[in-house]
Amino acid sequence: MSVSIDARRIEVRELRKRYGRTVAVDGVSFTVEPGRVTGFVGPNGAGKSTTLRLILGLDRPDAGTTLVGGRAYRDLRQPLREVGSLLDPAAVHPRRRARAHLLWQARSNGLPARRVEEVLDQVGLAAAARKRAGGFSLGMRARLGIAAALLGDPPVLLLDEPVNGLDPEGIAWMRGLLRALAAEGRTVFVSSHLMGELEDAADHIIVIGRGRILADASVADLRERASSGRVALRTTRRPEAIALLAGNGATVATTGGEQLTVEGLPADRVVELLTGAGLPFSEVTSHRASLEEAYMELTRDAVEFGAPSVTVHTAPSEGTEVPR
Amino acid sequence: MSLWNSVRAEWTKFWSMRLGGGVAVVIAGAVATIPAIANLDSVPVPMFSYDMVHRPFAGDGSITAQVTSHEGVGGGGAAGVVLKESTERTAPYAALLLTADRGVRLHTFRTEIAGSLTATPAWLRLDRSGDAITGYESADGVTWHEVGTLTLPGLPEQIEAGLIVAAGASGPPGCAAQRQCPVSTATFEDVTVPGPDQPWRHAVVGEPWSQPGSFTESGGVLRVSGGGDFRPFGNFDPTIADSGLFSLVIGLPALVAVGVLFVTSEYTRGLHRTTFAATPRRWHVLVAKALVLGGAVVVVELVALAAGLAWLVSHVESTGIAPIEYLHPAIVKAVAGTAVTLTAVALTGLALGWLFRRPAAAIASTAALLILPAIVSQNLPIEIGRWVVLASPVGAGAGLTEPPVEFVTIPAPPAGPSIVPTPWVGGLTLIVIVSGLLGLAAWRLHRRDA
Repeated sequence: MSVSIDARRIEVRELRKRYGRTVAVDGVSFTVEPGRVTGFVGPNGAGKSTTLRLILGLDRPDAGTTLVGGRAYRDLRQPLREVGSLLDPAAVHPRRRARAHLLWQARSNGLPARRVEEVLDQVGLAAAARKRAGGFSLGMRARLGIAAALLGDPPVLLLDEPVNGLDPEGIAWMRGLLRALAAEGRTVFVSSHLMGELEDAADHIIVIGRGRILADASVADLRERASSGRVALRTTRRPEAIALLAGNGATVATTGGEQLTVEGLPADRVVELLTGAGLPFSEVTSHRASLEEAYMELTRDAVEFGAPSVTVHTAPSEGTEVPR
Repeated sequence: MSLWNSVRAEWTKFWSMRLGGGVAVVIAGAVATIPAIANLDSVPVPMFSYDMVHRPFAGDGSITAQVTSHEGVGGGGAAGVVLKESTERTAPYAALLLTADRGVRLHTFRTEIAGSLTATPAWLRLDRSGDAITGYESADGVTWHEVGTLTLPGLPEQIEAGLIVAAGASGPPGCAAQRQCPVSTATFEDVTVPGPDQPWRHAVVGEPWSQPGSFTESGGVLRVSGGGDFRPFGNFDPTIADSGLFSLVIGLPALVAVGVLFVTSEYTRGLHRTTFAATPRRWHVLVAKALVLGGAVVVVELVALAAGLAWLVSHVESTGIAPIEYLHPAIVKAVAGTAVTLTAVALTGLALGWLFRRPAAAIASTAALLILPAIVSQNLPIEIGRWVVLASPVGAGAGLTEPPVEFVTIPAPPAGPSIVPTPWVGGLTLIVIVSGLLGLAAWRLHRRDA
């Protein structure tokens, strides 16, 4: 194991944490590198927030270590200058004005009061500085939370679901901000339970499910892995095609309309089978997976509270639309 | 340095909570004070007036007189000799009196020294030497017994020496206007005052509540008649602490709520994680909150109590008998003790807020801690109850807030065992309770997940 000398690197080693009988994090290890946006994705209850709380020293791990720039967070004396974090945008005192909400945080780390005005400007809340946080919309609260994370101009940012609940304009703004912060050389670690939210923002993805790391790869790698060996095609006789292909060992997914995605059979074999059975088909292509699909696949077995999947068939049955 | 940053952060939180913080403390302080001020109308202001027959008196020397009889005197009546700076109500004085109900007393505003004679005839002598005035009594004019010495600091060279009569019985309302109030008449013989012979003059000292008396002189015998009263007024409380113990009870819930909510409002909103992410050394946050809340409560309560006291002083001085020393150590102690006790209550709420995290549980447990020991101790023998009551910050604080004893009788009447602790015991107990709870909270805070 190499010794980290980069003050911006987040290292998590063999992290374990249980709450009562529930194992929240079960031997998690990963490294978050500076200069890029790293997405931390997993279904609700997968252990994302727990991991972030452990990194921030809020909860104590049962085993393992978390280091930011080679040091435990609890040992940082003025942590806001080194790590900016957003855990819950709703965690504001409703009667406190936005400026005061940031001012007390600035005071706690000896930051000058002018930083408050600067970050309010940076997130576009300057006009609302003297308004009470209780009247803020979800989007404004997210901006306020980002402003707090930026107070100490930290090289590392930890953001838990910052996009959650934002309107499209807010999502676009957040994506742009995340990319800009990473381009400045910062470490940007962003969690989400929806891969789609990170589609155009993240460079690197760490997928967690049931407290374990399922994938730790660049976005390009992830996409390629999910796409490999898949064939997409159209057919007007879907049930018969599904039955035929599944019967020959393929995993078939309906992806809307007349579209089928076939996994486990090479393209020429699919063509041969369908032709042999006299089933009409068209538009046979090698499938290019979206990040969302890659994610769904990785977490299929790791969904803690999800409904049983009805969209993926390994044996013939009534096809159901994949909700997109 | 980093602790100072935490204090500044918590101070910012405190004032920016509006109704949840600084304003609430001010309101709690006012709530604790207003009932005390409202209660002042029931503060017993002593009826205190007497007739005085006097003549000038210069330098050191003695006034002596024999009280041969005192007719028509009631329970609060008295007759005797006096040395007084002037006949103004508030002018310093020392009087040696044969009282109707408690024998001979060497008396000034708030102090009485008991003599031994209880009936006429009684020879009485006051001897001045500088600021010190010593009283002597004698049953026969031959054998004298020293009653005691009073010191009247700054007594001028030129004062008045004289004879005092107070009837000690009250008449129907309006009797003074009809000159029909009860009047007593005392006879003095062998009156000696040093210096050239000068005519006696008559004055009413204090607020006249009966018609003015009169006197006659013939052959060295003075017959002085007067109304008025000379009753010691007991433990009159010139601070608001006494009527305040009731007012404390009214102000307490507000202070408990402020202390509890200063912590739990963060937990109910998840804001505590933001706090601990900014300040990983959590005990800094705990200490900073205690300093900010404690400091705010102390300042607000001191101001509120001092304002209440100023109101009381003006109220008493307009009707009372003596100037009140605003900064008398006993008064300062009672005001400061009340402020300290209220602060300890707020800090107890703060500590239990840390321990319970939820407002309902914290407020309920704080209330139980404040009230239960007082209730339990009342049903126990006082020897045990006086220790049980210490478990409550209010019970312990009573040792600090006990009002000053305003009227001193020497020798003091025997005191029974009291459920009120001494200031030392009360103060130390308060420190133990508050620091113990805060220490426990800090220990739990360090170990628990946020």
